[in-house]
Parts: sequence; structure tokens; C-alpha cells
Amino acid sequence: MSVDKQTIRTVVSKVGTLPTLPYVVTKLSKMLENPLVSAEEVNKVISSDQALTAKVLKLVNSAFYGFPGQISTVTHAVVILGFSAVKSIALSASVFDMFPMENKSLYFDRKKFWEHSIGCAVIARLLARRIRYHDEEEAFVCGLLHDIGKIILDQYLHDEFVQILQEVRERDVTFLEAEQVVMNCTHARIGSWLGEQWSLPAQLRDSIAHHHNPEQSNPEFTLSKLAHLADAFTRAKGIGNSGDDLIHAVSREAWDILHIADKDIPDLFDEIDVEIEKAEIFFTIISEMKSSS
Amino acid sequence: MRKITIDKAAEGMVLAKPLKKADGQVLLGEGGRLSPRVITRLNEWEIDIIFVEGEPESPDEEECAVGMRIDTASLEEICATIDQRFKYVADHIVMKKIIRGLKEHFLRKYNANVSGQTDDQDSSK
Repeated sequence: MSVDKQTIRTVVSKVGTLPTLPYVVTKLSKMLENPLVSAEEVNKVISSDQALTAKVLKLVNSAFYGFPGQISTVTHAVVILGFSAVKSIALSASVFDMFPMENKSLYFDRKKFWEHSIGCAVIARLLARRIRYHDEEEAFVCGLLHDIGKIILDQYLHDEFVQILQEVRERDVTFLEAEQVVMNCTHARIGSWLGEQWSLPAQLRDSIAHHHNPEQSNPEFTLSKLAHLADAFTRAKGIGNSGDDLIHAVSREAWDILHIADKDIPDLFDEIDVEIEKAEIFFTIISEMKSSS
Repeated sequence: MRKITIDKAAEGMVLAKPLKKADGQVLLGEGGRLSPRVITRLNEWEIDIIFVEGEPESPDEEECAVGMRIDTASLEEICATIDQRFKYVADHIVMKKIIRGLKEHFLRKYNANVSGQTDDQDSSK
């Protein structure tokens, strides 16, 4: 198939009609840029959306955050877990709301996709902790959203998406290679357009855009490297599935931020297992929310 | 292990993972058998999904996010799966380290699992 500029234009124009993030979440994101914001102010914003409040409280009270059944208000959640965690929870709950779990394609299992994404999120958070990155929750969100472009493809450019999956199966190539053949555009780019539309922070957008090629992102940004590494580890462990079973070569720049000795790699995989157990809790709660809403 | 929704829960099924409420409270431990009483209360406990013993009957029933199922795969199968996943990048310098580390990790898990099973047999004697 030849490179088709028209296809890319179609991609761009359709992406213009992408779903928008709830106003509350966008407002929350802006608010938290101000270091002087109070827990009470955050509470006011979230509480204006009752459905979101219920979801946030359900997640913060799960075993995933380590305070099961102990947090009764959003203000309390902010005090115990911090602003960043509450923002990440609100954003996660909203993202799951926007995209149905039901499969649109025989060869793409959305549950497996979210398993991969949540797996990647908890591993990115683990790696962030390991390298003492200042915001572990931001790393969680970058892992969760790194492949969001694939869901956009499935939802809005379904014919192209099916062709890509066919390429993956027939030629045994990665999803990334297949999409370049089919539409000369990548899920990473589409995901970053969505990030712009959602006014996500610059570093988060960059991590979505460059999770396959972190060496091309802003050298000061760490998130793209964390997303890249977490994606590789998630694939290595075979957690979920995001369209193909293959693993990409890890970029040297990204690998070096881990400062890990060869002998410690098996231990890192042991730690990853612990995180994956937590991811299962998160996944179950999110699935329950979907089925009850 | 099967991951099933509670409408498929039947009397006599054996739990492969403890039954837990959303707050983490354990209601019935691993190895526990489902009784009619427990089944009727699953809804009340707001439990949607449970893990029971047995082979998955559909892809949906395969447990989420477990990676390779260490309890059923042989070491050869595990290594073959790893080699398949890494086949295009196996000569890459960083990937060589990751493959070695990953295999070592699975070997340890496998050995721990095998010795765990032997312990179980010993203690049941």
C-alpha cells in the first residue's frame, strides 16, 4: 500500500471530533498547577460531579491505594493521597467512561488492551519510584494513556484499524510497523493530538507521542522514557495485549535512566509481579464501574 | 484457573484466589468451596468476578494480567514464549540483558512453585 496523504488528512479531520474530557477534570488539572490550592477547593470541584465523586471514592477506598474503606470524602482523599493521586484517579475514571469495553473488532480485545495499559501504568509508577522521579502519579497516567491512540483508531478509524490488525497477523510485524504501512501515521501521533485536545500537560503529551522513540523527545523529559520502558516490561511479561505480541528494542537512553545492574533485573521482574497484582485490583474496580454505570 | 462472572458461579467450585470484598476483607480463602449460601451472597458483597480452579473455557476466562501462567506452563514453554516475543530484537545489547533477566525471574518462580507443590504434598502426608 502506498503512502496516502489523503488518509492522513482524513485521520486528522476525524480526530477533530474526538471526545472531550469532562470539564471537571480539565478544571482540576488547571487548578493543580497552582501550588497554593487547598484540599477543600479540590473537593468543591470534584463534588460538583456526583458520578465522578462516587467513582473517585470507590477507587481511593480500594486495596489499590492501601487505605481500604477508610476514606469518606474527597477532601480526606486529597489529605491522605495527595493532589496528584486524586487528579490521576479522576482522569483515569473519566477515560474509562469515555471508551466502551465492548469489542468492535474480532481481533482486538479491549479488555486485554486495558490490561496492557493498566499494567504499563503500575510498572511506570514502580520505575518512577525506583529512579526517584518527582511525580509517581504522573508516571501512572502516562503508562495508562500511552496507547490511547489505538482506542481512537478502533473507535473512529475502524476500517484502517482492521487493516492494521490484518497486517500484524499476516506479516507477523509489530502494530507500529503495520500502521505505518496502512496509513503512514502512528497511534502515538494520534494519541498526542488527543492529548492536545484534552490540554494534558506538555510532558504527558510528549510521552504519548514518543513512547516508541523517547530519544526524539525533549531531553529534559523523563516520562517518555518511563512509558517506553514500562511498555517493554509489560510486553516482556505478556500482560494484556495492545494489538501485537512482539517487543520493540529498548532505547539506550531510556535504559540508562534505570541504572540497573544485570544481576538485579530478575528482582525488578519480581517487583513488577507485585505491582501487577495491584493492577488486577484496579482493573476489576474499573470494570465493575463500567458494568454498573 | 478460570476468571468467571458471578452468574457462572456454581455450587462446589473451588476458589483459586481468596474471595475479597472491595475493601480487601477476605470472605473465603483460596481452596474454599462455593456453597449455595455463598453464591447467593456474592451480589450483596458487590463481587462481580471470582477466580476458580479449572481450565478456562473461553478467552474471557483467562485471568487478566498474569503474564505466563506459571502454574501450568513448563519451563520449555515459558522460554519458547519469551523467545517468540523477543525474536526480532534478540541480538540487541539491552534486550539480551532483559531476556536473561526475564528467564532467570521465571526460573525462580518456577522453582518456587515446584518446591511449594512438593511442600504441600509433604504436609498432606
